[in-house]
Amino acid sequence: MTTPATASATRPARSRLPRSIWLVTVALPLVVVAAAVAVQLAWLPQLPDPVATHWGGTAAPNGFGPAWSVVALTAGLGIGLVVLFGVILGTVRGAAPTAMHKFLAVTSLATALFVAVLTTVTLAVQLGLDDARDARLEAWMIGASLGAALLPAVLAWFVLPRAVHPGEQQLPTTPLELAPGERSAWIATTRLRGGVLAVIVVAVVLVVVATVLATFASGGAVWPILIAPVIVALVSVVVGVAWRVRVDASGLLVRTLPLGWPRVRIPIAEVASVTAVQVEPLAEFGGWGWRVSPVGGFGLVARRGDALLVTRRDGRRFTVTVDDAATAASLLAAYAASATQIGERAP
Amino acid sequence: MLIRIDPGSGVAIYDQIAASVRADASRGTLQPGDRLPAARELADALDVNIHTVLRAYQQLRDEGLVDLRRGRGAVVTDAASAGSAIVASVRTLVADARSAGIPPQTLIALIREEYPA
Repeated sequence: MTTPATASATRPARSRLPRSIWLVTVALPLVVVAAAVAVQLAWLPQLPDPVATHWGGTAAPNGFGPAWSVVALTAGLGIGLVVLFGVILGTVRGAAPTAMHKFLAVTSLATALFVAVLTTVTLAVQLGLDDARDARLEAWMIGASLGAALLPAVLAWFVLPRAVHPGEQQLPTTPLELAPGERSAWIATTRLRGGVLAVIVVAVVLVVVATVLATFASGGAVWPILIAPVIVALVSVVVGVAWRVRVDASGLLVRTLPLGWPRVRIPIAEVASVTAVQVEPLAEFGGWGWRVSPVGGFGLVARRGDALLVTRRDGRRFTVTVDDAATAASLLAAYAASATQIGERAP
Repeated sequence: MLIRIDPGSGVAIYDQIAASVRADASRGTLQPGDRLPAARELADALDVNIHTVLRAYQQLRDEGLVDLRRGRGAVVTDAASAGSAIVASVRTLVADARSAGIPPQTLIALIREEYPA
């Protein structure tokens, strides 16, 4: 028997996100907010005192305050939101921009533009007035502000680098060389570990404790409503913290532990291509556990790093994080290739 | 864990299963404390009889590579990690022999001399 020649899954050097993503998420919004603040400060001498700060359902204002409060709102809300989006983008790691990165970037830009334009418009309609009660904010002005925010964001989406799918930059796996009639199998178990598991346990405990307290405090009245989140939390833990991945002649089988259900089965005849990839949970799947995302497709994600990516004949993708995914990929690729040669292969 | 069996090779299937586990342990894919797949699952995946897998596991237990415990399955022992150090030494040795122009037969003969069966 020969020792299988498996390529060790080397982690690609993590490069930074393109500068353009950071530019759209942080730099541009800050410039927009700064410009709005500058314009509003320049207008201060021409504004009534107090200015209108709040509008109800009609075009006439129903709340008033000092002019500087509007400037402070613009600066505080604008900068605060930019910082928030910047922190989120820093958390969603990844070398290449995925749709998730781009969405964060253009949302940050649109939000900053909307805040800056709308606050500036509310002051613009009061320029030169003696009494702020005469100010009129029409519905179309709010619509125009929204448009002014969305249009550059949409443009930015197309100017930014194309979003990549995980695995598309990877070379296809070299199939393991199988002797005719050879029957090989690959089995491994993935478990959620460390920080993520701790967060889940804490969250579940909090949900359960809160439910019990609320049930007692309300004399048992609200339990039918509160039981649902508890069930959801417990079920998601039971089916999403560990799974066993099996590759054999019949295809790929992933079963969650300890129940063995839910499971994902991909028959060998449905396997179009196989790759070992490096997964970034937040950037590609928006989180951990059972995920469906436009970026990564369908996935069972425990952590960043080694994962097996299977593309079916109908184009659907399935990703499962598992150690030594390169070996699994080469075996599955070998069986897929021989299944294609034989044509219809009995399981 | 990769288990390769070739029914046409003439080697007993349980020997091939045991050899696969040994290879995984010496490569470091299996670490001490790791659990081997349940015999039933592995038998199902390889399409062999469960007793064939159990026989392989018993052979590995006799070698001291795994512990067989009721309810816990087959757990890889500390002895498995000793193998990976040897693999590294062998790689170095082979590389040295190659650069010195020593043919494989000579190297094997030298090892036999040092380590008679």
